[in-house]
Amino acid sequence: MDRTFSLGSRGKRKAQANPIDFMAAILIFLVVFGYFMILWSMFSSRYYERADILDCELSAIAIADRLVSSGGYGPGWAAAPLGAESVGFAKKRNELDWGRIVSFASLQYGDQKRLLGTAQDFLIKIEDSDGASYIQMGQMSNSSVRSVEVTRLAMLNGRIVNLRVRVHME
Amino acid sequence: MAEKTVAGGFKGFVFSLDAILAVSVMIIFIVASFILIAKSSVDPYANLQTVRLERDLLAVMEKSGAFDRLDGGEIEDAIEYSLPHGSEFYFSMETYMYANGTFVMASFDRRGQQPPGSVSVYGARRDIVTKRGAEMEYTVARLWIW
Repeated sequence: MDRTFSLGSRGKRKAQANPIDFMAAILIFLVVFGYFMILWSMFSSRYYERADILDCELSAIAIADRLVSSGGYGPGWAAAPLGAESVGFAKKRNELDWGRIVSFASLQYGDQKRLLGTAQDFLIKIEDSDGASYIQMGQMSNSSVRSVEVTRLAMLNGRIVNLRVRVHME
Repeated sequence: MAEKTVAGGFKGFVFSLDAILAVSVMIIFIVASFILIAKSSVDPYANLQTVRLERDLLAVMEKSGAFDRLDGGEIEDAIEYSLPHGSEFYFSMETYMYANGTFVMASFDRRGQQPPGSVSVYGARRDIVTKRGAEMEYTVARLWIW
């Protein structure tokens, strides 16, 4: 069962190898290696998926922040929205201007995406605390069912409203 | 390394430093991989979004007049009205009167429930200055949502 190899000239037992031990070691190594490969696969696929979601979330946060904090940029852009360089709905911070909202909503979807600086599909809703919708802009994605939604609070015509920005994963 | 054999025909029972080292490395590896997988599901922007919501809530409450009378009950109702479903809050409000060149604390109010110790909660603050006739009040409102 146990083979020993004499390596020294005086017959000292320098090392020994047992085939069962060796097989067991190989088996354990293969099991651990397989486990490692499965974990690696799980982790890397989760990582890429997570990175996509975080990218989407960051995009939604940035868009929502700009809409409630900024009035947009471009001289009189609300009157001629195609000439705008960036858009924002706020006349003051957390105070939305209906004129700017309607002006942005009148644009084609492609122009809306360009002005928001996003390549992803988006949907913007403004609704009151009970869920009654004032307006909806953008469109649902045809290809992606996964999305991230960010909600901000603001005033619109003296009422508290929720501005919801939903960005779809590509 | 040392190898113990059991006399009487049964050989191969190995329990050496090599085996302990191997098992330790494997356990460390398994624990580390589980920690990494668990961490990958944590949302790093969740706190950022909560703080923005708190700031929004304080701002819209001020704009809608909820802070006009500095009435704790009225403010609590306003928070509950706009609070996302399933969220909890803690609100505190300190009011100082300005008299003879110094600010003196006039009142302290707190609403909601204390955040549980098991979660990290970030709060938002809004400073409000109110002039009532010749008197001036300085209020510090703080809000935590989780």
